Amino acid sequence: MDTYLLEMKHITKKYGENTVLKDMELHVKPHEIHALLGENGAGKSTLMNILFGMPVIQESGGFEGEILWDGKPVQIDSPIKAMEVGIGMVHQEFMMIPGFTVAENIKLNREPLKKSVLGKVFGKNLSIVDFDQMERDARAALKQVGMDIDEKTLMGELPVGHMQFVEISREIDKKNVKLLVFDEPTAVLTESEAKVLLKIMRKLADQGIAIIFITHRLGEVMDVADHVTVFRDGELVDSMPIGETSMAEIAEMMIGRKMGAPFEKSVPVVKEDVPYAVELKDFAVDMPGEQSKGVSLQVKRGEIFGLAGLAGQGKLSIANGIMGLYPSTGKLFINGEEIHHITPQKILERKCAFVSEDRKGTGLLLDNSIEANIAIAAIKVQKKYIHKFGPFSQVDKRKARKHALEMIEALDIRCTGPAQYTRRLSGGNQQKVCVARALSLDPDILLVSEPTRGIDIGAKRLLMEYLVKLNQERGMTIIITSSELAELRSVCDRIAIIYDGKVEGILPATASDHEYGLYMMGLESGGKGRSEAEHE
Amino acid sequence: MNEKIIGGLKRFGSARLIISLFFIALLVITYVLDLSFAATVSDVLIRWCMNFLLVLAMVPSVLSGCGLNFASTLGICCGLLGGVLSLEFGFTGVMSLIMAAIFGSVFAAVIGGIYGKLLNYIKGSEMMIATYVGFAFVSLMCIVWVFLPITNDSLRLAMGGGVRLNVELSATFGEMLNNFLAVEIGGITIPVGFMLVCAAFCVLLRLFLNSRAGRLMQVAGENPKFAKALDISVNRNRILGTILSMVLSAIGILFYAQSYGFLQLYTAPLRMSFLAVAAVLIGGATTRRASIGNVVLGTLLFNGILAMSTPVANALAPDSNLAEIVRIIVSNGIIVYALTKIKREV
Amino acid sequence: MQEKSTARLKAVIKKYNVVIFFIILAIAAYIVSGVAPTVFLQEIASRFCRNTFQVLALIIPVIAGLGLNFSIVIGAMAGQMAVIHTVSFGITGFPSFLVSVLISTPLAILFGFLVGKVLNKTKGNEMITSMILGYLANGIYQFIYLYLIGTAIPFPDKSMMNDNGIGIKSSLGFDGTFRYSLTDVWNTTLYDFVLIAGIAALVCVVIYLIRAFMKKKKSGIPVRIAQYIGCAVIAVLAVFLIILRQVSFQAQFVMKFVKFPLSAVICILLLCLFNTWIFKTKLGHNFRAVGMNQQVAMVSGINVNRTRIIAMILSTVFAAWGQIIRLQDIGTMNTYSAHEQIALLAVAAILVGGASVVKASNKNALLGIILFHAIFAVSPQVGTALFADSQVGEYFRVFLAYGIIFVALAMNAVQQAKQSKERKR
Repeated sequence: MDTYLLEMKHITKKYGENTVLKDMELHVKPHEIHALLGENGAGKSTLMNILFGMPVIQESGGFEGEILWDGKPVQIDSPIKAMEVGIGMVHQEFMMIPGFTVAENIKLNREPLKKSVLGKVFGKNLSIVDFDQMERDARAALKQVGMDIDEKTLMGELPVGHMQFVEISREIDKKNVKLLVFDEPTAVLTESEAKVLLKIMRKLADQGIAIIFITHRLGEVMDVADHVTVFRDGELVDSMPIGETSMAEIAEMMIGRKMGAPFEKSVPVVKEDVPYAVELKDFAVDMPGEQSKGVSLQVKRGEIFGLAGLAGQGKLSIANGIMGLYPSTGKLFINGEEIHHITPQKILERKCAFVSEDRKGTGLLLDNSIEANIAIAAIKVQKKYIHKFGPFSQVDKRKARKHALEMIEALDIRCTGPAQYTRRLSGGNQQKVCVARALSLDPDILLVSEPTRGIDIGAKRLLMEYLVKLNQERGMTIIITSSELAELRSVCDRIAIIYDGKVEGILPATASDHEYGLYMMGLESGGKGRSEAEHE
Repeated sequence: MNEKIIGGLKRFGSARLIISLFFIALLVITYVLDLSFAATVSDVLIRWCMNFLLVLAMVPSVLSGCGLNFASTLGICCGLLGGVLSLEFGFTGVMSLIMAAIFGSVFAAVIGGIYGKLLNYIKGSEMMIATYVGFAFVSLMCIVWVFLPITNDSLRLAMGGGVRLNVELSATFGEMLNNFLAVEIGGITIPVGFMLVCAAFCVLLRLFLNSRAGRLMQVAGENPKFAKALDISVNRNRILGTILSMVLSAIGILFYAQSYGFLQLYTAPLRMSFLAVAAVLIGGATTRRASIGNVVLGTLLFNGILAMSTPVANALAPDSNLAEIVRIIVSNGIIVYALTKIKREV
Repeated sequence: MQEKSTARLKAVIKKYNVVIFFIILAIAAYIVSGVAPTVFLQEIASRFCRNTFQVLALIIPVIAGLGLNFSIVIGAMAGQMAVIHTVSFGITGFPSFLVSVLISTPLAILFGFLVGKVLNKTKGNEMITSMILGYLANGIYQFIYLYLIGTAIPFPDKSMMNDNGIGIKSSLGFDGTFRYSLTDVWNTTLYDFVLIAGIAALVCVVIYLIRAFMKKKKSGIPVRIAQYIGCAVIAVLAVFLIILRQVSFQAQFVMKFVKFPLSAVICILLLCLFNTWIFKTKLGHNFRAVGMNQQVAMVSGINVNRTRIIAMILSTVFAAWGQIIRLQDIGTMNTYSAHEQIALLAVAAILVGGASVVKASNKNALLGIILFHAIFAVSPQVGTALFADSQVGEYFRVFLAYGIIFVALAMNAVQQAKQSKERKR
């Protein structure tokens, strides 16, 4: 039995009231590629921040639990300490200086120095950097990775695909490195580049370096990993050697979640003889990090429709594209009318309202009162809540306040009053304000993105109940985008699974976990975790 | 109860608290040392009014998201140009002030529009650029003053062309607002009319901020992403805020000049925007938020300190310009303090 | 080959467009002004010796990502404080220079440290903060030297104080004490220097041409033509310098009595060498890394805040020394305003030399100071010649200084806005 190189035991981390990691375990052996799987928000990045001693952790009150390195407990309280111990990181976003050469980047802050008198007297800061030696070292490291890049090229002039390899070269050039973390390394690579990368990872592992491999791509995990650990909601689901499991099982572990009791609701009053509420034809939205690449679907009037999928697959872009917040191509029909040149105003005028996933950015005026937040959309779009005096206007505060009080009552917004600033509200109550604002437009179609992200269970339940109520009583068409599949399944009539920017399939809420798992991983269409569109 | 007081003090802010205490201390010293208390208080009141609009000009700029308007000197120069033209055309009495304000506002609106366009290209670096736009514009205006074809002898430089360094206003609108409805109580002159005029501008601004257009402008300033989701044009509203700020500055300098008795041209406006910025900051504004209340309080505290420190300083150290030094330290100190409070947007 | 060469020439012109524009402006201004060549030369020479040191002090903060350091006025104040006290001790001659440097250094280190601390709290707004800090420090400086001296702080030399015994006089003269304390160490007349400079320039041109001919890879015709034109211009200028001293009696007169401080030039050269050297060291490498990307530098274990503070300390110290060099050559000092224009002129000069908010080098500083002061020196005469009003020239040069800074800042801001937009993609 090998001894473990790294053991993280009983790790618990809270950000304020919010527990993001609960009694987490991670055990990594040398020579091992250890895949770390979980949806976004499952706690992977927090765990890695703890491992690296990132300042965010200390600043937010540290963590509970212990870290063993080579069987001995260690305190990792700064990135420098992590480096000294022998932990290296290949970042998701490139930690590179574009204005430096490849060699300078590889040797950043570990530059070889010439011996000199001044250096001896005043310390290494005044020693001359040995640029020739630096280039030689860099070349050697690049060679080890198997890359033929000129070490004198400026980083900014390098193709994106090569940057990853420079990062790896930098990490292995640190002579003491024993553990390397790869954070979604293949996300920006082409398939052939990804293959090369996986080969290098194997090679490094064979040399004795332990590797933690964070990815969303199950195909790659099955190809290269030795051991897999799955997280969900900040908790450990399971950890096992790769041989003892299958892709489908892993997928199920990642998304499976105890379902809350489904909401009681009658069969939707779907009107079949009228045009679709929303129809998309080959709809593609250019939203950075969440591109959709040609979505076609129809949402019937009076339906609650879900959009599901893993992070980065493009589900979020659809509602944003419909609202005109990001440029899109393809066709959009609302109530049978095609909308050309989509702008937010055009969509809002057609009685569509949107609750954004970016609550604190797009969603709220944090330094404004609840009533101002609720009223502003109607003031802008429908010119409600204002007195008109010829060309001049004044906001009708009394009407706005009355409406705000009604919404506070209806949605049970916990606050000191309608004049309270939204910055001081809890996440759940902030979300309710967003919903209230959307409803002040009196919409026929409501688009809601990530309605329950980061809010407590009570508020979650209430929000979902309210959405169902709107649908049942007012016949409102509701499109919910969410990463929480269980939640969608408890309220939606149909759920479209978005994978790789396209509709992988549309399932009824009652379909099995297994089926959902396969669709979410993009396995249903026969792709091995990748599809052709990505290679363009 | 105790908590409420502490909470209230916290909201008031330590910098503002210190300055308020300083203000009160000066007031007490003036009274105790009997340094012509009545005259000093009258002076404080006049200075409050004469600087008021210049400080008020910061509000639309901040609320539209352009930050503190260090370039309000552009508006100030426009106001001065309006004043010069009004006198050149021979207006007298109330008309001279009104026409000056109208001319000045038109120039300020045009310049503000152009400058607002520029600001839209350089989002995130507004303050530094604004400062140097202001400096460059003042020095450019110096050349304009020299070449302005003036025919009115009371404006012209004694020798050759160009406008005088200081244009006297005693024959036109000098002290017009100061004396308007002024009331004397116990030796203290209260410029009631001037205060009412300032209040009227507050009400106008307040009405605008409460209108639909005003609300939308504030949304664009506070949260561009939010504005985009409601199809509110961020760029257009920033220009609107800049124009308003410039127009207020233009009228503000005319108010200032009528109190002072002269139109001060050439390099005189160079650092005026800093004083307005400092005043609104002392009133509790930040680079992202400012209210009319901030202006009222800040202008009183800042200019009150300046007005009172002169007699106090003279009592402590005769024939000195300690007041000037207090002005430099207080105004720049509060600006640096405000700069350290900016949260970096990531 | 030819096309490639033309493209290269275009690229060069684009790269140096600011410099080329100001060269043309300087030449035009000189021609219009009708200033005698000897006077012109003398103006530039003395301005060069006085101001260059401080312009060179701007380079390190730019590279370390702090932008244009408007707080060098604080360094200048440290220099002035040192000079005031040195003179009050009755020290004269070269020792007074050394003592001033000695006193100013710890002061400047302290000030630089404090400024660096504040700038670390105002990341993203460094330039405006450094500027306002300069104004704030000016207030404190005035408070100390106008009020505390003579009341709270004892001061030995009554002749330097106001008549009432409080505060330092607003104008101080250093004749016979501190004046020329460095200049007199090693100087020559402009008359001799011009000859040496002319010959040196000719030799350089010849060496350059020989090397160009020896080069195996010949560059294209347009580049070669540009090279020849450049060489010819420099050669003509050099010959002009050499024969200038023969031109007129007046020229000889002016130039023979103007001290040309070789010692100050040596100091400037030493600082240039220091700047070159520091960027080869680990520390200088850290400056570059921090300047380009603080996040990456931090993750690689560089102490970003500390590095920035060191950059500010170095810049402040050099600014203090620069002010001492300047004052000893001028020989008089406006106690409360000598520092005020320092940052404006230095920053404008380095920008004219082709630097930007994120890039600066010795070359930019040296070239910039010559070009900027060439224009600055003659602009009153240009005003007189064009508008019969020297005041216009005065206004114009102030406008020029502010304007160039505005343009540089705006260009940088537009670029930054573009980049952050791209990064969001």
